[in-house]
Amino acid sequence: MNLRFDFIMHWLWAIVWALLALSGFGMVGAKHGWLVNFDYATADFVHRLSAAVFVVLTFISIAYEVFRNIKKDTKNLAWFVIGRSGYQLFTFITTLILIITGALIWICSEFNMSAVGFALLIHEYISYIALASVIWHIYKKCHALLSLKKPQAKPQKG
Amino acid sequence: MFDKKKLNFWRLAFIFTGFTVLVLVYLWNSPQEPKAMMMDGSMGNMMKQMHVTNMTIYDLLTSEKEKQASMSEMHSHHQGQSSVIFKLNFLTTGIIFLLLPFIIGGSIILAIVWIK
Repeated sequence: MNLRFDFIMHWLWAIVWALLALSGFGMVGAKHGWLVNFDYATADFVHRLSAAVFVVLTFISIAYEVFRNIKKDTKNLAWFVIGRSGYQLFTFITTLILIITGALIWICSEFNMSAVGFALLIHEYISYIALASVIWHIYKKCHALLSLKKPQAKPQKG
Repeated sequence: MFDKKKLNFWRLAFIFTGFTVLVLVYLWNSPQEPKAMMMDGSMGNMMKQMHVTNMTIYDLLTSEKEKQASMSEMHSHHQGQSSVIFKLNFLTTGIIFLLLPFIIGGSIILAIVWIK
């Protein structure tokens, strides 16, 4: 199988997102603590580590998209995580909100609890929306993996 | 009636449901310690009650200086506890705050290009 950049980015993103979701929802409150075996310290550690990888992946995606625009490359990247329309645009917007509010929570806990409270509230509710959208996205696009299994027709000679 | 193309989704949903049930059965009595009443709500709701209710724009933009002294003492104590975690925290904080301006800048560029 010919591995494309957008395909690799998609699945790297999915793995990091899953780690962030598991550790993040586990920390939301005691009701969801079972997700992380009530080990909030490890969940916090995994969440922060995954967040850094997530930020790096987002940076690479944005830089790649900007570079494509400079080169005027209009080729459709079906597996790419960000884009100008549809679910790609939704992912782009929610990612930006999650990163910015996450950074606020990260830095403001040192000196401003009001800002932390405000950012945490947005971070949490956007995460619920993102989770619901991911389930919908998997439902809508699960046939994409079936098409990868199918052997491609060989080009005819002559 | 049943879309065969969606079979993978239902398989995945079935596996996740199985995992969830197994974890819940395994942690049936956890945590052993008495549960804190204030943790019944979500973290966002707790923060809303504690800090966001009656919050003003002024509160968002000003720092609580009096708390800083006691917090710095606590942080220096924690930093001494585990240097690996502290170094990793320094690295991840560095990555995030170094790349954040580029992410915001790139997003603004993309927004302008896409709207055109």
